[in-house]
Amino acid sequence: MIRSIRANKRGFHTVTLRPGVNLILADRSKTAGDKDTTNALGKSTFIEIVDFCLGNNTSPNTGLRVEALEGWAFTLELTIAGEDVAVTRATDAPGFFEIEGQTAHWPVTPELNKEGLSGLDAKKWRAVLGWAFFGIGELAVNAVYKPSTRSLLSYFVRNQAAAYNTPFKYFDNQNTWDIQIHNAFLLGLDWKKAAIWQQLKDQKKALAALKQAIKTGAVDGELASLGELEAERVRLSNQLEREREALSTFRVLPQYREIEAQANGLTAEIHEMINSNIVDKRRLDRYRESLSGEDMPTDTRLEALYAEAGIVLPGAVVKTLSDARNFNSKITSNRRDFIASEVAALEGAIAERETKVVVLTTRRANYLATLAGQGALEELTQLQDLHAASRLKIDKLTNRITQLRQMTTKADTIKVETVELKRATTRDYEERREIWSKALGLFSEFSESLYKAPGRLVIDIGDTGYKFDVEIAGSPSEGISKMKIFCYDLTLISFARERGLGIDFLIHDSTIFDGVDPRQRAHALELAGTMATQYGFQYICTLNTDMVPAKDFSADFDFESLVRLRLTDTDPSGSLLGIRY
Amino acid sequence: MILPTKHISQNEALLGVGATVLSNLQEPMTVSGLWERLRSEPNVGTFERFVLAANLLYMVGAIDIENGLIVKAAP
Repeated sequence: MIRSIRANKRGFHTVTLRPGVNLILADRSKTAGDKDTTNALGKSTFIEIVDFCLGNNTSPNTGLRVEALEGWAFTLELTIAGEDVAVTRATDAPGFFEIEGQTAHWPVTPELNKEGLSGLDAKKWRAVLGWAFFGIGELAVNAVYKPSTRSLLSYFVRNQAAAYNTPFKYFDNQNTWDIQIHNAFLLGLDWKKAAIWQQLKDQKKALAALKQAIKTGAVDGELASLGELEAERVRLSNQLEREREALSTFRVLPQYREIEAQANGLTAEIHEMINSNIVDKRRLDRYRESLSGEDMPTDTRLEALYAEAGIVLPGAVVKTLSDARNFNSKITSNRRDFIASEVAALEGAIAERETKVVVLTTRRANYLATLAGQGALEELTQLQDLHAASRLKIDKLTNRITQLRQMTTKADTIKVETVELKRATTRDYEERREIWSKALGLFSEFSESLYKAPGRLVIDIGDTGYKFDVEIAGSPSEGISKMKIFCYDLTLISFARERGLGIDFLIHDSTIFDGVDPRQRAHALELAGTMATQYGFQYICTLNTDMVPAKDFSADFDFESLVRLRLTDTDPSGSLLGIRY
Repeated sequence: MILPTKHISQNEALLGVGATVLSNLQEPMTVSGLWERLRSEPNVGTFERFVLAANLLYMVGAIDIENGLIVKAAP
């Protein structure tokens, strides 16, 4: 229970609250001009201060942390877990919550800070509130998705215009899982199911993201089908086997390069000899041809020449015929000898070369035989490198296949798990019927006491998790949609009290009554009063005086006794803070 | 045979061939060497005509043979 709200500055209107209905009114005075307004008197600021002291997230230059409120500190006196405590939070140092009072039995006890004040940081303070209000220990769940104290509190202290749009959300862009988990928790459903739902959704999303990443090339890999990858693996495996075979039979010859060089040298030598032989054979042919083509002069021709010379050149012939015969035979035999010796020499050279070629060829054949079936060391290394590369490729491919298989399997698993989860949730839902039907009962009771026909709070289990809805005949008017929220919140607080949770206040801004018919406004306030008494909680509400449906209250409803504070617009001192900013 | 006649041109007459042989015999040469040099001369023609021309030069004392080499005889 919130007992009071105060601040460290003069002019602040300290508010003392009591069990049951508490109203904060903003008067529109008669002396105020048309342009004056009941806005900015501090109705919303009041709620903001409560929320501030209950450890909301604040950022600089928004809410209470504005320049005009520098040096302010607000104190909330409340009863939690049966003990009275006062918590103070300063706008300048929002990270620290000063705590006074009995805290010995708390799961987290306050410690002294540098200034010697006893208190907690925001995280610990929220843990204490979670424990005291909702029975969730700090270490209740070690999960990503779990109910948070602040989120749960936001359904009891709706603290911004967007919180008054739909019953199940307290801010505009609230995530589906956030809505599901917190409403499930508050309605007595198994919120863990909602958490698992979100985890499955996350996994599904991650899988899709991974696929997309692969598709766009941001992540290595190709989106080939499993079959294509398997075929490629078979091909690579065969190649790997062939390489392995070649490696296993490979023999390294240390003098491989030397022998290879010698064999090459022999080849060159053999070629050279064969070339020489070709040239020599051609010469030989020519000599043999000469032998047959060169006719020697016969003795008769020589004698005829000699006789003619004696006649034609009388006195010039100085040699005898026998000299001439001698000379002629010398010349012819000279020529014959020369050709014969040339022929012999050429034939000899050719024969010798041919023998040599045979020898060299045999030697070369030996060398080549040595090289055959063996390899040089560098060839072995190269082969090994190739083999290693193939192995790496196949390993990579195997990983891809495993990954793809996992992706496919995981996608299937998620589907199966989602179906199973839905079944389990439905079963759980049935088993908890006794619990949640109370909440549903409360809602229809509340809606019926405002409007003639009872409304319905609907809990569905769809493919994406819990689905909540409220129906009151006559929706979509603004007033009725506001009253849906009113009824839902009243249901939550009544139900929480019924279940024995520590939370014992519900705070509404005047927005909750915007567009609501005065009769329903009166009914709502009276209903809140009755329920507050019945379930033992506080209903705190801010209102503009002209919104008070004075004529519509029941005769025994003492409205005036519920007003804890009146704010006026005659001058700044009439506002909550005593100043306007 | 030796001199040009109505049927034998000056070039083909042995006297002409002998002149060609002499002009090519600048230094002592072997029979084969001299023949290899002259066989392409147009007026020499066959090996027989070469030998006859050489015989003629020998008969008139223009060349001699020394140690197997044909030399020009000293005048």
